[in-house]
Amino acid sequence: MNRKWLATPYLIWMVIFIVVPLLMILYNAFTVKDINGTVFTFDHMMKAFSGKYMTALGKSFLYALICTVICLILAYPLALILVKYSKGGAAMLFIFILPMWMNFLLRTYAWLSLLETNNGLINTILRALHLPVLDIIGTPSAIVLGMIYNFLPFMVLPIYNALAKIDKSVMEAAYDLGANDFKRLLKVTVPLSMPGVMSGITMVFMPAVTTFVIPNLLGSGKVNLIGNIIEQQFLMTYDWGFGAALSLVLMIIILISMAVIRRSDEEMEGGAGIW
Amino acid sequence: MEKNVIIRLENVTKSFEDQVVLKNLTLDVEKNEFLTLLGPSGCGKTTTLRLIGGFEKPDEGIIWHQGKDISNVPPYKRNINTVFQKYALFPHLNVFENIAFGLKIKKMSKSLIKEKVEKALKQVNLDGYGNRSIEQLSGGQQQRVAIARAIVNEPEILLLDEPLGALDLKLRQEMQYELKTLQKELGITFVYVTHDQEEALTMSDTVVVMNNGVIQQKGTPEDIYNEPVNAFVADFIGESNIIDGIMRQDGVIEILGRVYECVDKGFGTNEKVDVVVRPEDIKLLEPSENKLNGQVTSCIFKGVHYETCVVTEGFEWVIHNTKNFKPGEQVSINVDPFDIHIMKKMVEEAGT
Repeated sequence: MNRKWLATPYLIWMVIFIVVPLLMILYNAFTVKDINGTVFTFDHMMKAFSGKYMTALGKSFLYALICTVICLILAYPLALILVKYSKGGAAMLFIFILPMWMNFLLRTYAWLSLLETNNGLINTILRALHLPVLDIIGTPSAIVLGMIYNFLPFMVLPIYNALAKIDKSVMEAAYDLGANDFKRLLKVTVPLSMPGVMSGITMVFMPAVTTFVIPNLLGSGKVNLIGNIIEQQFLMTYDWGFGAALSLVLMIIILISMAVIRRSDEEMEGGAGIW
Repeated sequence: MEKNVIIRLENVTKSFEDQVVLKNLTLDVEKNEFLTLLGPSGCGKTTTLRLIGGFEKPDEGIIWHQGKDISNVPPYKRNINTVFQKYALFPHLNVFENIAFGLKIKKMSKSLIKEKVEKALKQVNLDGYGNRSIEQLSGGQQQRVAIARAIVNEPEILLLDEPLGALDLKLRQEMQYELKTLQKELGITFVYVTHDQEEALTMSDTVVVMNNGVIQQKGTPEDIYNEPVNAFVADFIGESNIIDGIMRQDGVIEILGRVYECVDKGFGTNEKVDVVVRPEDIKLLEPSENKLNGQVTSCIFKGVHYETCVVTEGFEWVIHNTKNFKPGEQVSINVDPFDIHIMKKMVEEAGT
């Protein structure tokens, strides 16, 4: 029986909410309104590739990269521990994802008040202990910290799932064939969890590179990342054409970098990465 | 300790969450023998194997390996390899890399690894399959890779946990012969776990029948089949008619109110016993006055023989013979005295 028609609602959804907006971005990025009506132009794209905006883009990639690497370093051992203690692990995982139920903005505001230089909780404690005060609001460190806090669960969950799926007898087989804990981790656990690691990287890197709320709040607007500039084009200067061009450039660069990561993963693992 | 014993489990007890799986088990495995642990599921056979492999630690008792206590030695430090029930191949590695895994861990040279892996592939008849991915292989081929991956390390002992369970009958029979041949070629000890009595009898030098965490009988396949020590073993190994009897005196047994001659001795006078008669040892003849007479209730063609059921005084006998009886026919049960096996009643162990 042909059940292809069941996909129709999704196809309609995708066309209306994904394909059409993408086409509108394309349209805005390459057109300008002047006295002759709407005409085709490369001006927006040329402007997008100019130095100032490329610097912001570079900074966004750098911060997102730092955030992704730190998330990976924190999440992998954590996921290993959660899987190892399978009974308590599920409860711990629950506690870990609990903050995700709270609003993203609220959580970021919470960090703002925690980190505040004069009355923030952290600095009040540090002052009471006669330790140097942490003055990081408005700096890249605060932004990266906010990113790590907000996106860490997106790294933990896929890695945890990938690790939990590994057949117990495969792990025993590695022991049986002479691998101690460390070698087993290196030769069996890590390669078999790569699909989870790759989705974790994707799920952390993408929102991190495009975020504008975190730099707005924790960066006090002093650090302009590509997300902020795009936001400003749409909400402040109303230059939709340029905003669309920047979005397009960002999207293409993200697509290329993700493709590169996937390709290198496949080469490393002999095509074992299924995602 | 005797020279030939390679593994000795001494008074080993093992429980999982209050459930005692092995009770004070003592077992010697001799060098270069093909030993099979046979029993129904939950009898502790796999746990015994996992104790030898090092995947479990005994709660009590000691595991000796050539005179050394290895009870707490982790699996990766034991010169023992395992063929797992579901093969447990590494899905991210191809056939060659799977087999080479143990050798790479030992940091052997590439050329030596290649040589050894290719030899192992030949031994399991998978020559030329090195570059295949695991998913491309059939169940039987995956099984061979699992065996090659274990034997390439030249272990002193190979443990096999129901390795043929997932294969179809024909392939299983083929693999039985291959495993036996391989064991002779390699000249190493095989400890094999199965619930399939035919498998156990076909391949083993020694069969260990287990039930409820206790060894019931250890012996050659012939011993186990011909001289089962109790009704459990008799029932588990091949089909049996097990019937209550009373030992009147040495060589005289009372079954269903009739007295028969038998060859067993050494039971107490009037001791209640289990009487075991193999279906192929019963001859069906014309009914007669002083014999155990009964009525045929069914007769099913089984290929090599007919399986005939006969009811005599409330007991249903299963008989294997070559004649097709009709249901309702009157017959008499005839057994030679030396085919009547008398066994002590099993003492049902109270759950601990």
